[in-house]
Amino acid sequence: MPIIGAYATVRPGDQAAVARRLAALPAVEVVPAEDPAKVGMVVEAASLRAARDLLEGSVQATEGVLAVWPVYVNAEDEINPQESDER
Amino acid sequence: MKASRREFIRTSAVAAVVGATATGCGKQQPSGGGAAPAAVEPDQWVKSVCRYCGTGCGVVLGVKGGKLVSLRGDAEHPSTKGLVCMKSLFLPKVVNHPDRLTKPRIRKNGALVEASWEEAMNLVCDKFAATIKANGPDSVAYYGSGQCMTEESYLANRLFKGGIGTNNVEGNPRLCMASAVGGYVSTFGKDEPMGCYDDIDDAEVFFLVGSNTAECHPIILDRILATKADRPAVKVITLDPRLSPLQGMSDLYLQPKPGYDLAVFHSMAQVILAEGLYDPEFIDKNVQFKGADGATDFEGYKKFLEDFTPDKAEAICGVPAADIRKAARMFAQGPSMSFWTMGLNQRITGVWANNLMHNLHLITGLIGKPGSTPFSLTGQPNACGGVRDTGSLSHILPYGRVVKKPEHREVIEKLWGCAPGTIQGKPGLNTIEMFKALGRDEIQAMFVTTTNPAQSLPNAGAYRDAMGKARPNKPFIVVADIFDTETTKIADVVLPAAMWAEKTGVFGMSERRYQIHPKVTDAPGEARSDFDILLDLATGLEERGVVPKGYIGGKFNSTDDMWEEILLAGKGTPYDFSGMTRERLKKERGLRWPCPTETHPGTARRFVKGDDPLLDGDSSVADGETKFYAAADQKAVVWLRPIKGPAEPCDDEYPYSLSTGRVVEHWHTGTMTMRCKELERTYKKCYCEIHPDDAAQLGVKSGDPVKVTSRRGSLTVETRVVPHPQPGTCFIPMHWEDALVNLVTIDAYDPGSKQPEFKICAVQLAKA
Repeated sequence: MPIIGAYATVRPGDQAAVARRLAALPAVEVVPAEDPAKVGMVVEAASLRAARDLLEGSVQATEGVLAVWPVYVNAEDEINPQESDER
Repeated sequence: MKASRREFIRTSAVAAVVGATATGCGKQQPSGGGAAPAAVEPDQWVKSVCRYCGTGCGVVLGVKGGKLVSLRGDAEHPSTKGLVCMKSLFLPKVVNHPDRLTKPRIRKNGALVEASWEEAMNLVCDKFAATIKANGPDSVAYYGSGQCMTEESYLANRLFKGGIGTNNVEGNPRLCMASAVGGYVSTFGKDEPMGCYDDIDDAEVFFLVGSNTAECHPIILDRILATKADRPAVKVITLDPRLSPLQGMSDLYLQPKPGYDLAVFHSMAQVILAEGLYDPEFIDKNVQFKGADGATDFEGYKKFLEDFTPDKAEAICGVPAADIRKAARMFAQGPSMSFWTMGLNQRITGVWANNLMHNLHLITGLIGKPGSTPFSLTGQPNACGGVRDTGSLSHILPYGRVVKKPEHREVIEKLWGCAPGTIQGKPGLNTIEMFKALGRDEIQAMFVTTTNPAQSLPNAGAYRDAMGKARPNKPFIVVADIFDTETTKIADVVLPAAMWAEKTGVFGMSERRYQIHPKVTDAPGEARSDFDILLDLATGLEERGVVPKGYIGGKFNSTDDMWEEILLAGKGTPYDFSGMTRERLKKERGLRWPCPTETHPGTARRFVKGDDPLLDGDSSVADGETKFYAAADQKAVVWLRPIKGPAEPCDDEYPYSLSTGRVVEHWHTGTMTMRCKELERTYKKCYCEIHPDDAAQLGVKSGDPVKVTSRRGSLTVETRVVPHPQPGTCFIPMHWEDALVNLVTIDAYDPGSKQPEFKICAVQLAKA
């Protein structure tokens, strides 16, 4: 199952509200962000495509989100679904 | 294992996000992010550079009470923008680890026993001086590292070549990037990439070759992914015999037979020419053609490539012809950026493979423009700036000079203040030949620092014997390091060294950016910087009459002093970084050379008018256009290189091809990362990846012990049955000292670069 670290850019002042909205989405965990114009998150999805769809769909469409940037991707499970957790 | 691996990946993701969402220096680490292992809040944050790979990530060090307690990504860093990988985040734990060496030790009656610095250095100086007096300067050698500071490598080079008078100066960059150097020099006339990380933001096509970027250079991959996320039309082509984590993000994945990728590059070029996807105007202005018989021309190149149509290439390398065509067409669309690393470099055809990568950019004109450049990634923080640039290898001198050229020796002898004729015109021994000479007792004393050759050399068994096997005339081995390693175990003297955060110096990373890292904490116990140790060695050798009095002693008291001379060594060369004063480096987050004046902002793209200051005033080239001024006739070379397979092809006796590599959590021989529990627990044991078809034939399943045997040695490790390696191939990572894969690897090397072929050797596999 791929894990993606990402952040959304937001207008200063919107951070808390956007973080609450994003935290309500399935498969999204909000991560504390120091920059008031950003909300950090970690996404776990069944595939990279599902993760991308989630980031470009529900996350991008969340009220207050200006843009979404992935900063970390681990997709090894897609290569080797039966073994990857045993590494 | 399951939980810890998953947890590790999640924590890495969190760490990357925390780094990317930080606002900059001087503020506290956000709580709950798990990004840094700080047990206490730092009272000071200081900008620095990561000390692991060659990406050169900007970091901020958290210091409390004079102790390093935390590390995070530097959000203000222009290249890496706050991102760091997990290895880096745990560096404070490595610095403060209780295993750190704190006292010198001398071998007495077979055992290493503690000694004073005076006793240890007297012994080292006595042995080196006696050897030089008895057997001449070439009976001693220096083996350094791409992890030493620039000032340290420069000092060692100065001492050995200009003081003692031997060119036996080598270092571990010979093992990881010498072929990239050979490629740059033979194609463009001078070493180092012309592009920069900014190009990632403008590229439309990424060609990742022999590089598991996801695990070895994760922060570079992050930036590629950010580009792809921003512009979904961006394409990624990956070429690697083994499936890596890049598979999930690649639009096209090519898997050649190990050692035969040169056919892919030639075939892509053939398609590009046949389909008219080349840039005739760029070629006409900037390119010359050379083959085995000397100079040729575009038509000669075209004819040469007729042997590499996609169908013919498929028969050589196993990559489907249709995929080669697709790759060629995608690449030619541009802007295209190529990245490669050990998969190309650690080969007996490493230089040729590098040449052919450059060929693709030169024939398409996809070079010297935003988003278009060939770019070799490097594995150590200062292999570029510290070893390549300072000329700290057996055949070169500082800043693009070579020992073979009298005029180059003359300039350096004058700068160093040594007598004319001191620097030998004959290159010293390359790394493999140097350790062979050690085994023959021809080299009688060697100084090793910040590297672990007993584990990292190919065919390591032979060279472990060369360094450590008891015999009447056994050479004298001195090792300076921060922890005990496989090499300290067989050394005669072990010197405790300071680590990067405990000393001030310069690192130069892959994009020609020089950055200073400051001392933020004291070294433990009696540990000292390599710079100070080398100064003591120099002074001791001066006192014993084998180095001229005052050659080094009394001239340099600090790395700041040494930097002043280094600036002079680079002045007037294509590297010119005279504008990088110490004060400027302390204020700025690194600068990219050329940077010839104190007001120059540094150079994003070399060889490009309007950007590269060395082309200022050259009216023969228009703004934005390229001029390869370092190359003969000022034209880069498209090379017609023949195809040649690996040094040790598989046969009936040794039917499997072994490749070695890395995992994201560990680094090199694991000396540092294995001492961090959070990293160590993710991979408790070494393993061998075997394809399911081969596993069925061998009767092994995941977890079974498998014995891997080559003509040189063997090891037994756990089996991982996975589809990553192709049938007939296997893969073992290199990090574990209790599973030395380099007992098995081959020490055949590229005749041009002298870089060994770690990536391919023939082995037997058997259930143990």
